[in-house]
Amino acid sequence: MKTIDITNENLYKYRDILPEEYHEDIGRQYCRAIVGINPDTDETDAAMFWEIRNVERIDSDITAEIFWYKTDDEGNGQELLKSFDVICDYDKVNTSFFELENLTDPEITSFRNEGYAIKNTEGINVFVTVEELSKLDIAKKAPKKYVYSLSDISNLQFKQGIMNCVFHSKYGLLDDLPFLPQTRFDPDISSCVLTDGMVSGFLLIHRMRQGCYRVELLYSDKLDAAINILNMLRYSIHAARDLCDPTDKVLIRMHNDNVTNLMKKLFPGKKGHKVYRGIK
Amino acid sequence: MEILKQYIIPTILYQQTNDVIFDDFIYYSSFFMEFAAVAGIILLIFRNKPLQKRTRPEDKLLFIECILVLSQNVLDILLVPLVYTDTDWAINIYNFALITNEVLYFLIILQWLICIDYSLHHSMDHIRRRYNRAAIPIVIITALELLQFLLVVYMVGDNFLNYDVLQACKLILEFCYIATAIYIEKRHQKNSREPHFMRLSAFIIPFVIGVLVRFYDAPLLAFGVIFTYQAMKRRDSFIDPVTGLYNEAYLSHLAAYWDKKGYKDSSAIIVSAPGNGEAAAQLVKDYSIKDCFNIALTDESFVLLTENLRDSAAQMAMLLLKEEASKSPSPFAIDVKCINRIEGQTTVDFADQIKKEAGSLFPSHKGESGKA
Repeated sequence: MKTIDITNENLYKYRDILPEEYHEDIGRQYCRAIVGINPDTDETDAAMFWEIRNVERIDSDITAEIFWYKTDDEGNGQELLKSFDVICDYDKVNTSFFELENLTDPEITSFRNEGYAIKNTEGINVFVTVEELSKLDIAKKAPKKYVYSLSDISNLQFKQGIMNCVFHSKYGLLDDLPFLPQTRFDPDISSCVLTDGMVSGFLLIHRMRQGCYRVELLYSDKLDAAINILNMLRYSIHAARDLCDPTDKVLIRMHNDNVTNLMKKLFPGKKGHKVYRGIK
Repeated sequence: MEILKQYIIPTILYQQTNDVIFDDFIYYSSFFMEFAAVAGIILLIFRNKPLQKRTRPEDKLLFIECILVLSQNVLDILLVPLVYTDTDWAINIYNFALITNEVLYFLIILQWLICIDYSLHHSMDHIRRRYNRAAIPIVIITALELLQFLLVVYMVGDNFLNYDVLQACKLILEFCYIATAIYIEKRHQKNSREPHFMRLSAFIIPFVIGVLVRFYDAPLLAFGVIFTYQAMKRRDSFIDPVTGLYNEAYLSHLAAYWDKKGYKDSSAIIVSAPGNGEAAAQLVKDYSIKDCFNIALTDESFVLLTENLRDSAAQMAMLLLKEEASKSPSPFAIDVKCINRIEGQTTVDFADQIKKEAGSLFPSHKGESGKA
């Protein structure tokens, strides 16, 4: 099996294989995708997409999270995972892990054979619909006038706001936040707070695919943080209610205690789907 | 207990005791203190150019405070002749003036709270958002008092408000404003790495004495404002008059403070723009980040001092500054460098390293025009 890195230059060949939500991530500094090709038939035997994290953090190990993995044959899958290990060694990854739903038997077997400890558990990704968000108590009031959508601010204000976030080490789900363009985020549903003409808070939402959005950053300066976050949530929920289908989903990843506590307050009892969690 | 009943409670309630000597002493001394307060505030304004020019928001806010205090003390002085007349119109004017005096008193404390908040957080939007309804309790109490006053004047009704209850409500409101200021300052101390210049006690102590001896409240508030301004002047001594940024002395002061507090991590982005100091200073001010300290080392070199930055954050900041300098109406070139404090290094040593690094950025530009 031949392993090929998916890049911006050859993405067009693998658009049908790689799920739509990862197309925009190809080319990002910490995102990787590889595909295993049968040299005789040129067919795809296996493919995967992952992201490396904590590259710049001195207090944490570098990790690789596998977001998508596909294979029909455990042998091909294992070969691809070996290539994955080689790339991870190059990237100085200490730990690799995944949380994937709906893994097939060959996929599970290939992970196990490559040394992953796998268990069934509740995932950290929680999906809520736009309708559920609209029914929240916080959505009943109108947001304040100093909250705007991303489309209302200039690129310069966006960059200043991002600089404010990264200077406070707030990257959200995006370790390469400083290098991402404003266009990555939904311009109408994402919101920001302007204070003295500068962005002092962001709620950045990325459209993964039709009908599915992901919250990637929620941050406000310490000054009036709670009220600003509340108003950004209100603004974005109102915008989603006006512009999206009620059945559209929003993915909230409970990647730290702050998000977990917020979700417990907004959606008590709401849990992630059952997933296979594996770690090596 | 006797002293409390005979002297302290009446003075708190703006009433006379039965001791003529004591009452006369309080009365005449408060009169002279009011004159002294008026003179003090006028001197404060005329001897401080920032208060006269009022270019900075904090100077505008403090100027408003000075005018309120001045008005209250002048009003108190003008009320003195009315005390000696027995005519109905004089009594009514006196009572109306007392209500006005109370309003000014509340507004002075509220304005002081706003001045403190602004001096800590430097955000006018925050002030507008937080305090847009802060005066509502003042309006309600004043409206009730005015209504009562009008009913009595036009002999339509008697006092419907219990005097002691009203005084208690006013006192509670005043203490709420003071407590809010203390809370804001404590929270800022906890969350910020900024050295502290504000001395809340400079206002609170005169305020508390003024509560205990109500006849002194107006002049003591004036002295509180004057003492508060002295604290602000101490911070102003660290501001570079040309650029409006902190000066080199502040870097040393800040470094000593961080070492004292035990802050171990810091990064510095050094910006050098020979020949284009003014433009570079404006660029640094336009991109000022909360909790980041913008310091002018010289007329042409600046440093943005902050907590430890990741490489990507430093890279972004450097790229953005260079890009904006090249895109400005008169494009100019800048040299930007990021340095991180190493483990075991004190902030004072790091500050020295920053000054050396800033100096070393100059030689690369010697002889060049400095323009893109």
